[in-house]
Order: sequence, then structure tokens, then C-alpha cells
Amino acid sequence: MRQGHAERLAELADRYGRMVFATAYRVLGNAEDAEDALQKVFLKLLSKWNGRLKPDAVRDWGAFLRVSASRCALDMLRRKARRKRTTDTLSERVGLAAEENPRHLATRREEARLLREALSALPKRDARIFALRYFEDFPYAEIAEQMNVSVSQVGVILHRARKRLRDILEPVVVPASPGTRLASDAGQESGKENSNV
Amino acid sequence: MSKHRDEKNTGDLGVLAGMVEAVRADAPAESVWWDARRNLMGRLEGSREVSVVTRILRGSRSRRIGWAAALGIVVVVVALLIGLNPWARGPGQAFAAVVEQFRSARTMTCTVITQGEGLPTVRAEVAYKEPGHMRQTTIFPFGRNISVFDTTQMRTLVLIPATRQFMEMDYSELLPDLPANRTAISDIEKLRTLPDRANELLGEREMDGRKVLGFLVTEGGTRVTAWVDAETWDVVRVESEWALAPGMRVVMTDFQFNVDLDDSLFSLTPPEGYTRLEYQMDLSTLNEQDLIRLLRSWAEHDKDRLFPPALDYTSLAKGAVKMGFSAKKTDFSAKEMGFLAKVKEYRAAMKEAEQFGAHMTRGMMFLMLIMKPENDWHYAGEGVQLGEALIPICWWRPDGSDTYRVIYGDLSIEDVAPEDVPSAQERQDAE
Repeated sequence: MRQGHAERLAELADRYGRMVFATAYRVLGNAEDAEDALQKVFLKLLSKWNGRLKPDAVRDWGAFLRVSASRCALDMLRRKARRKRTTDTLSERVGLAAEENPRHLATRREEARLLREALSALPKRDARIFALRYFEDFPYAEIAEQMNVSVSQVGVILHRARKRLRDILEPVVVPASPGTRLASDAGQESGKENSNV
Repeated sequence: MSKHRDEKNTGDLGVLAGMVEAVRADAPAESVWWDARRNLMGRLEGSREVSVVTRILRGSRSRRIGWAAALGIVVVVVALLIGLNPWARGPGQAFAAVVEQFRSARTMTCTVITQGEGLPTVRAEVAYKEPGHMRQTTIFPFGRNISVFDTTQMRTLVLIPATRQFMEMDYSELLPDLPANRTAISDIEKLRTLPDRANELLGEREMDGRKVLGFLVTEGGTRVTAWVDAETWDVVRVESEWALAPGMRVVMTDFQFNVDLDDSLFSLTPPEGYTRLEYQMDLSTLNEQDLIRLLRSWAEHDKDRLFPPALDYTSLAKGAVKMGFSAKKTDFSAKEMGFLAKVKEYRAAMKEAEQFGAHMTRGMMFLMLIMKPENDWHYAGEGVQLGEALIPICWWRPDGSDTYRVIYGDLSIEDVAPEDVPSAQERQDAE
């Protein structure tokens, strides 16, 4: 490793490492995996620098690293989901889990887990664009530039991604303000009301 | 793209809105980030140092993880062996201001690099918090291990993130057999027990662009050199060499005092999702069989079935590395091997690595108990092959005993009268 590269990389890690870690954590939902993603992002960058990419080739390091982190984390999420995936459909598995322990699942953290799991079932590019838009607050134009698609394509992909996620998740959740409740929980509560009557 | 359009689409989330909100609100704890950062910086800064070792150890990743476990356990032993070696107080005054920085610190962090001829350079990030809590993240070329020490309970938790496994160690029953002042753990806490006075002033020197003053403290084969900023007297670097680890040097840098360290960093509860290593170390029942297992384990892994040349930490560490090198000979990627056969062999390799680490640890812990002057401990195993029944390889006199315990090359053990243990000349030859 060239000394200049090492120093530059350390500077970037110091400045943007936390952001990369937070981005990866939002997608993966646990610190160990987020740390793996953090290291992968920076070590991959190092190997690129040792290859052809020049350190000064990137205009906006913040955006570049956030996109890299999101991409790396989503790839990890998909791999993890593939390992877990059985013959059951996603909604079947989610539904089963909800029946087993509805109270536990009704937590915010569990809502986040459900969305992450559903996200892993989307096509790669759709998931990346969804995560950049809704987890990272990237504007359409920025997403278009980073993902090398047109702005209108971003809109179409997001529309498709939301629909697909709703299809997966709606069978197990019911809308409730401000958060979301699981269908099994709602059913249980309505059952309780009836018995009281 | 207009702001209006962005907002409109965010609103289209419908049933997903709460879930997106939950993801966005799900942030890692501050302490978790701190740990991840240190690991990353260590990995980046250390990547050049370890590159040679990485090349040597290139082989099956899975296999290396197994040996990382063994090495990690050995690292815990280092910390203990070195840490449990007490300091003696000595004369001198100027050094007191340096030592006071360590003693008065509520928390301390530093980088620790261990170097030795024939050994890979091992880097660790250490955090210490009063009273007696320490977290050491050791970065190997093939992964990292985390050891959390708690001297108030005399317990240690070893985490192996690569395999998501943990091991718990409890020394509380071992403590009554140790001198009362042997409570400092590892390098960093031992700095607090440095004497007030240095044996020698090493003068001024330029180090990393700043002028530093050097102090040397020596005691019982232990040498500690502290370099402090000539103007501010801040500690810049501490170098240590110990009698128990000849040829090894520990360099501590990047000292920070009284930084905020979350208690969760020092928790002895394994993280969620971690499973217990199959082999757990029970340190409450140490006995001479542990020394025998160490000797057997070593000789069986040696290509010539020889016992270790010496029973000190350096030799032990070199042995662990050597076993790591020989491990790569097993080709887990061989295409002709069926998947199940690979899994079976992988599991066997993991178990072997865990057992080797465990044997080294327990054996060294037992040695620590009998290496006192009053036990007249001697080791003469260099060049002796496993099975040579007539050659005594080590002997010592247990506390309160009139006779010696002697272990022979076939690892049999017997009581021997003092007049029958190897003569002074034989001892000299052996040592």
C-alpha cells in the first residue's frame, strides 16, 4: 500500500466512517454486520486505489461512500436472506413469526426488521434506489447520477419498489398512525374487544 | 428534481411509512460506533504491517478462523502472564509525574503492538476503565478477537466475531494461590503499578516530529522505557520487554486519558447471536495434567515430535503461529472432496484449534503457579522427543512437599527425592 493512499484513506475513514457505519446499520439492523460492511467499503476502496482508480477521481466523497455503504449492506442483506430462504414465501414466514410472538413483533425494531427482510426480496437495483431515497434521503437527481439512470427512471423504479413492498408486507400489517401494526396483533385486539362485549 | 416531487413520493409510502421511520430511527449505540471505528482504523493503519503475514498465511479462510481462535486464546494468556508479573517499587522522582498520568486516569485507551522475531506483528486496541475493566481488540491478519477483562470479578470474556463464538474464563478460584499484588491485568493496567522512580534517564530524542524524554525502569528481567513529550510531559510511547517473553517487545502508543467509555464496552455478557465455543476453559481445577497436555499437544503438532525449546510466552506464541502455518496444508477447497466431508473436516480442524489454544492456556496458567523460586522449577525439554521415557524434561518441588515431581519424555510423572533430581551440572547443561 502506498503511504499517500494509506493516509488519504485514514482521513476519509475518520471523516466519513461514522456515516458509512450508520448507513450500513440502517440496512442491516445489527452492529456486527454493519462493522463488516464498514470495513469492506474502505478496504475495497483501498484495493481500487492500488489498482486503477485515482483517489482524486471522486467529486463528492460523502455521497460516493454512502452509496457504496448502502450497496454493500444490501448485498450482504440479500446474501443473508438467501441463506435463510426456504420454500416458504416471505409473507408466509413473516406471518408465521407474527403468530408466534405478536407482542414482540409489534415493536418498532421488529417493523424495521420486516421492511429489511422484504427489501432483500426486491431486485437489486430497485432495493438500492429505495434505500437511497427513503433511508438516506437522497434527492431523485442525486440517485439518478449515482445509479446512472434517468430521473424519470428513478420515479418509476421507486413506484414499483413501493408496490412490491406493500404487496409483501400488507398481508401482515395494518396501517396505524404514526407507526404500523401487525395484522395478527390487530386481530388479537379486535378479538379481545368482542369477548368483552 | 424538484422538492415537490420528492415530498410527494415520500408521502406515497402509505403502509410502509411507519416501517421506514422505524428503520431510520434504528441507530447503533455510540459505544458500538466507537468500537467499529477503532477496529477500522487499526485495520487500515495495520494493513501494511500485516501484509507479509497475510501472504504467508494465505490458505483456507475457514481454517484460519479456527486458528485465529487458538491465537486469540493465547493472547489472553499473554495479557495475564505479563500482567500478573508484579512490579517492584524503586527509587527516583522525576518519573513520578509520568506514572501519575496512568494512576490518576479514570479511563485510558492506547494502541498496543507486540513484536517478536519469528512472530507476526500483532496490533491491539486497548481500553481501560476503572475499576479494573479492560477491553482488548486484537487485530490479526485474518480477523480480530475481543477480550473483555474484569479484575473485580476475575473473569474474562473472549469474543471471536468471525465465527460469532465466545468463551468465558473465570480465574476467581485461582486467585487465592497468587500473591496479593498480582491483580494488574495486561500491559495497560500494569502501567499504573510502575514505580515512582526510573532507574535511568535516557535523555532527549526526536520522535515523530516532537522532542521526547526517555526513562528506563528495570526490575527482575523486565524493562520498561517510557517516552514523554519534553514540554508537556504527556506520555508518547511506552516500550516493554518481559522476562516471561524473551525476545518480544510491546510498544504502546496513542495514549488518551479520561475519554468517555461506555460501560457496555466492558460487559461480560456475550452479544446476541453469539454461541459458546464447544471447548470452555475451566480454570478452577488447574493441575500438573494441564502441563502434561500442553507438552503433549505441542510435541504432537511438531513435525519431529519434539518438546518446546523453552516454556516461556515467546516460545508458546511461536508454537501457535507454527501450528497455524502447518494448518494451511489441509486443502479444504479440493474439488474431489464432497461437501459433507469438507464440513466434517472443517469442524475437526476448528475443534483441534480450540483444543490447542485451550491446552496452551491451561498449561501456562499452571506453570505460572509453579514457576516461583521456592518451587525450584526447571525445564530441560529442548531437543527431547515425545516418548523418550528415560529423559526428565522438567521438575519442580510442589508447595510444602519434600520431594520433586518429575515429568519424563514419555510424559509419565513421578515423585523423586531431592538427591535424585538431575545434578547441578546436568541442570546447567539442560538450561
